[in-house]
Amino acid sequence: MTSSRTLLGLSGVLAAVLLWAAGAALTANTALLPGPVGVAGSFGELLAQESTRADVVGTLRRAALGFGIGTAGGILVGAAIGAFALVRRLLNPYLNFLRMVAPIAWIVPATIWLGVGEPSILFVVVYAAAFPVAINTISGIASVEPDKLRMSRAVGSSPGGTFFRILIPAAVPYVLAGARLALGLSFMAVVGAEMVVGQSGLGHLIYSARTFSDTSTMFAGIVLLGLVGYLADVVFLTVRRTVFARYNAGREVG
Amino acid sequence: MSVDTSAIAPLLQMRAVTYGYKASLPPIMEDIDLDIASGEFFVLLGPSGCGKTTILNQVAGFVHPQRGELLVKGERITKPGPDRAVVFQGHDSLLGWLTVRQNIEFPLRVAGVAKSQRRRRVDHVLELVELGAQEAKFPHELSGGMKQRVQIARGLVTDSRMLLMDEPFGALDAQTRSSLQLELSAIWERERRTVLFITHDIAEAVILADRVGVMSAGPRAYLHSIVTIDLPRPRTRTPEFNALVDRLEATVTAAKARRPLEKEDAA
Amino acid sequence: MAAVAHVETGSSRASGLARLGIDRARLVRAGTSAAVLLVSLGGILALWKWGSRAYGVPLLFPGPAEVADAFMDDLRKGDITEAVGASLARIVAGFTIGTLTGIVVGLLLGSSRVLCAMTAPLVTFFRFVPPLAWFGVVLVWFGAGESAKIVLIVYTSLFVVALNTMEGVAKVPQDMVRMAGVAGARTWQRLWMIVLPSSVPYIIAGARVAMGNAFMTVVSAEMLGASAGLGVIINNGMTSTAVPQVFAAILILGFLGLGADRLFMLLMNKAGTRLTYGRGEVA
Repeated sequence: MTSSRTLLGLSGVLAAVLLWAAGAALTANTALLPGPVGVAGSFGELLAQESTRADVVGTLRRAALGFGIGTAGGILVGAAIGAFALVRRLLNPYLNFLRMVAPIAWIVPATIWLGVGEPSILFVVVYAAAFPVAINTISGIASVEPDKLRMSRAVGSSPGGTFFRILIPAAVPYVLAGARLALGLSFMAVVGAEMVVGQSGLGHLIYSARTFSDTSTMFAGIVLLGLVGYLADVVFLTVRRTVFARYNAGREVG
Repeated sequence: MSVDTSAIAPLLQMRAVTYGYKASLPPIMEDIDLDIASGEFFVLLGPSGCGKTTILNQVAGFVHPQRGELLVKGERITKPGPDRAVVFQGHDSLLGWLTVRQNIEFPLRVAGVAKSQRRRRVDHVLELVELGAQEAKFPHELSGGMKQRVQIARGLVTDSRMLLMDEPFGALDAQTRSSLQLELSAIWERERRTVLFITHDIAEAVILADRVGVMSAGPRAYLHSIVTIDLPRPRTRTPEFNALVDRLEATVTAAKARRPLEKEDAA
Repeated sequence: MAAVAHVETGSSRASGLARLGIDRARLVRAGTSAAVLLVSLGGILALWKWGSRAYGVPLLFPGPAEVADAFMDDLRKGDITEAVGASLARIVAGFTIGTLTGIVVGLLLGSSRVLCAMTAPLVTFFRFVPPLAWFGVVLVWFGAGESAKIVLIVYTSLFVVALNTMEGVAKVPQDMVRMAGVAGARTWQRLWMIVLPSSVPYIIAGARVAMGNAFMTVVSAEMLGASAGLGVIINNGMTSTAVPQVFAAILILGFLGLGADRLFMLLMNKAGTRLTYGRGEVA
């Protein structure tokens, strides 16, 4: 069963590549639609260049840093809102409003407050990562079965103790689901910010290739970006499966 | 009034039906031979795991036997069709976005039946199952018993030859189950269809059936025996009724142990 | 006993409200929330004003008064309306086309095990390419006009909606599909009368995410080059010629996004009870 799925998957990729090559041959315009061979060549060139490595590292660094800070902030805010009704009353309207604003829109205020370039990009990424984590943390804390809380009170635990020993662990699967979303959104934000104000990074690499109408490099950059994102997700899932395994026991993970 | 199964050609024939999931494992059932006469109420009784639902699934055409064949009116069953209407065990087949009336008329709409005729047919079955007052309600607003009545109505609304019922009252409380059994009996007397009814409840079998087929335990389940229920309807707990229940209980015990009925089985 | 006595001897005001069908407790709760919101808004505005004064460069960090002034000014000139109109037009066009095609693609792919398995690795890969990364390519293909931005939004909407539709198709209960077979339904009848309605909650959930992505994509795309739009306003702010408008644009984006999301929640709740009752939560 699984082997036939892999076989079908491979045949799907093969079919797609063949269609692509056919399309490229038909249009016969490498600026418009470079073929798989051309893109593979550009990909190789990119990998060979020193600047590409710097770009990849730059994008990863910004994404990881923004993701980390944003996730931490999101957990704190989400936990506070989820656990304390007063905080929820106060912050909920702002949370629901601010999360609707596209992260990239904040690039101008961020530049004013934090400075040009790196700090503003970081702000945008943190902003993008924080909200899914906060929202999911709130969900997670809300989902704790009341019986668990009653049990905790019954054995004499303080509110703080209940918070740390019952609420937080129960919320972990939700937080992780939110973090996975945030990972994807962080990449989206990083690439956007690099394209708009960045001087380096994969986003900048892909976008600046258009000044030479170098579609081949653009495609190669896109493939590279997809790979980097995919690997980041794989790493995340592995960590979730190993380090956080016991929190997901018996649950359907998202 | 019992059915004379010898003279008329049977509606459903099962010949040496064998079914299993994998060729390498022993089959769930083996060499099932069964004839069901037209207009008969046939109940298939047996322990869980004997494959009685799988027999229904094969008659319905949802799955195919490994060996052997199933024939309805002499033709092989290859796929599901309106001639073999199905009442499922759960409520998943009810369409939550449609009203009771729309759910019942679904097979007619698929078949392209004209609106006026649809209305007439649905009115008729709504009256049969006594759901006229709920016709504009949605499935989630109905009780379990009502939902099953919707399924029965849907099964009767077409010119189906057979009604296949897969433990339809299994999830209901005892009271609802009792009343629905009597309702079903009454409906069947008015709208004579051939019914294949699956259950593990012995009393239910005696209340409803013309004949009861008792399955052995699986794997390699076989049709252990067929008991004729020759009681007038509607059926109440007379001494004859109880005697038949006892006899069936003994038969089921023997069937579970995969051995012939012996004198010791009679409680 | 005490509760019964309370109801019988309740104040005339309370029974007056009850006659109007208003639950007193809910009214009090809503009132408190509104009060909290107003007070906190006042606090934020005060903080904002203080922050702007402290920063000292009103051109770069305007206070609430400057922003309100600039907003009213632009409103009169029609700049804001033009920008909002341009952005919304792109979003609506791209989102509609993307969602509708996404539903069709999702239904077709979801119904075929073979196609599903064949496209799985491709889908998994492209999920990790942010839509905006394609902007350069799209510019080369479609030029710098409207179509480029709309194509991008179509892409992101189609992707998300198709994925969610496929999930909905996979989750159609087996008995429902079997019942359709018993009724003699052909493939297109099954898709149209059973699979599609059954998948609606999933489709709506997908459309909700797609709408969010559409907003994000349109703003970034406009920042990279357009003649009119909210992203253009923000972009202009980067050359510090019109910063108060940037803050105004951010506020507008928030309200637009909120409005769109509320719309989806309304739709989901309406569709939800009829469709998912008994089958559990969907999104």
